[in-house]
Amino acid sequence: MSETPFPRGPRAGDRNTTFTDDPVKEHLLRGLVTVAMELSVTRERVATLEALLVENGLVDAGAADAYEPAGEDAAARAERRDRLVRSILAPLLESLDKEG
Amino acid sequence: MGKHDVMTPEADKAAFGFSPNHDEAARMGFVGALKKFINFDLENRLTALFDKELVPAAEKPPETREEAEALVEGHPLYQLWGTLTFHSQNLLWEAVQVTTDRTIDANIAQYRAILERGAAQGSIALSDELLVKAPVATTEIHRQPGGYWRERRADDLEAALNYSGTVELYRIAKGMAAGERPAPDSFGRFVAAVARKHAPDLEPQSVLDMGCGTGEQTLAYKREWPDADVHGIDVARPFIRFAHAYAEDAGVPVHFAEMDAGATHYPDESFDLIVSIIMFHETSKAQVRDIMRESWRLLRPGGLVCHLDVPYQPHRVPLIKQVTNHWQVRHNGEPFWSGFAELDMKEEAIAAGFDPEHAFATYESVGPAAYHFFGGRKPG
Repeated sequence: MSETPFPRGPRAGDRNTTFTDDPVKEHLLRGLVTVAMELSVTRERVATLEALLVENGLVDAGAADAYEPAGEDAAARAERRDRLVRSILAPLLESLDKEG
Repeated sequence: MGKHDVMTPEADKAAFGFSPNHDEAARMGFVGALKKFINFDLENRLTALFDKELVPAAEKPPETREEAEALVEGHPLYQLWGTLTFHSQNLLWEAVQVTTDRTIDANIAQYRAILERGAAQGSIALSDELLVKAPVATTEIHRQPGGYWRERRADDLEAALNYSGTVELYRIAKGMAAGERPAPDSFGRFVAAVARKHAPDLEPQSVLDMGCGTGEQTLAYKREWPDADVHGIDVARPFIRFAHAYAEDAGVPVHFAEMDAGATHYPDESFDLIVSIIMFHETSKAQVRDIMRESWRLLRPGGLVCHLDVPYQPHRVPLIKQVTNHWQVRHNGEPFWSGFAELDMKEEAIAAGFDPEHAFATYESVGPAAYHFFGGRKPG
């Protein structure tokens, strides 16, 4: 019996086909979903570490919630936050300046 | 007992099969949740859009899948569904590959140790003569990297580990993970229960599982009928290797062979019960006919053929669901998905030799999902 050819399918190994009128935004959305996945993994890791610390009597339950960074630790954290915000948003402002 | 399951390094080493560590399991859990959102929240919204806005606003209500497709394909919600479905599949394969890469050497070492030990219980038979046919030979089914049968190393298990890793994830994605996690052979147990319904008096002495894949479900038939000889066949060599090692590791004697379900090497009337699980929609129209004829040939008088596959026959499925199902053909490596759904499997059973009185094609539910069952009984 002769086989009817199969309908067209995806290219082997293709991961970049897009479905909207704006492939750039589409890839940004996909990147965001991937980052959310990794954030979810990290959150679970932290939750596990915290649970193990409590279970093994190394810290009290709620100790992390009650922890207030102070001194050099607080300053270093603030600096890291600022740097992260700048690294994401500053280039956007620069490119708008150039366009303007 | 603690509040969690502790996986010791020794236990990790001892377990044959797909065994994700903490972060890998968390990543897969996320992909499952993403797919569940797409399959339920997003698809329900798409259905509402189609029924309540697009169809009422159309000049003429769509009557075919193609007309429905034309109506919806330009809408941003459908495009969003497409891109998220595509990307969730990208993430699925990326996620399982991490575990496979980390554990492949240890799994192959265990497979070899089982071979060297000698098959005390079941057996494995590989065949260099087997010609793997399209679409399995030519398509990355579900966009699995390298498809089902690619081999990149000696005694390769990569395709099987990756495939096995997706099973639990698909279950979450279909909303089936609420409550207790089912046993790894629950699908096979379900098929056995349906077989009992069709042939309550049958106590099979020999069972054949066609397209057995990684073999987890094949074990169910040995557990259901401990006195029966149970055989599992598949065209994908990495799957057969995996199935054999998995069965031996579990201490369940099953005979696995690399074989085409449409052209097996067994003599006429070899089996009392012949089953399969979601195999047919990965074949072709010609192979469906070969496999149904082979099922009839291999069946003993009084025996039962009971195949399970997807329940997406067009008369059961609304037009918008036909559109999203057909998208799988174009973008998810499912070339025969629509072609299979359009076949009348009771007619196919009759054409293969079953008489109309004993042939069947029906639907059975398990949890929130329904499946298509078809086959027949050979008069005793």
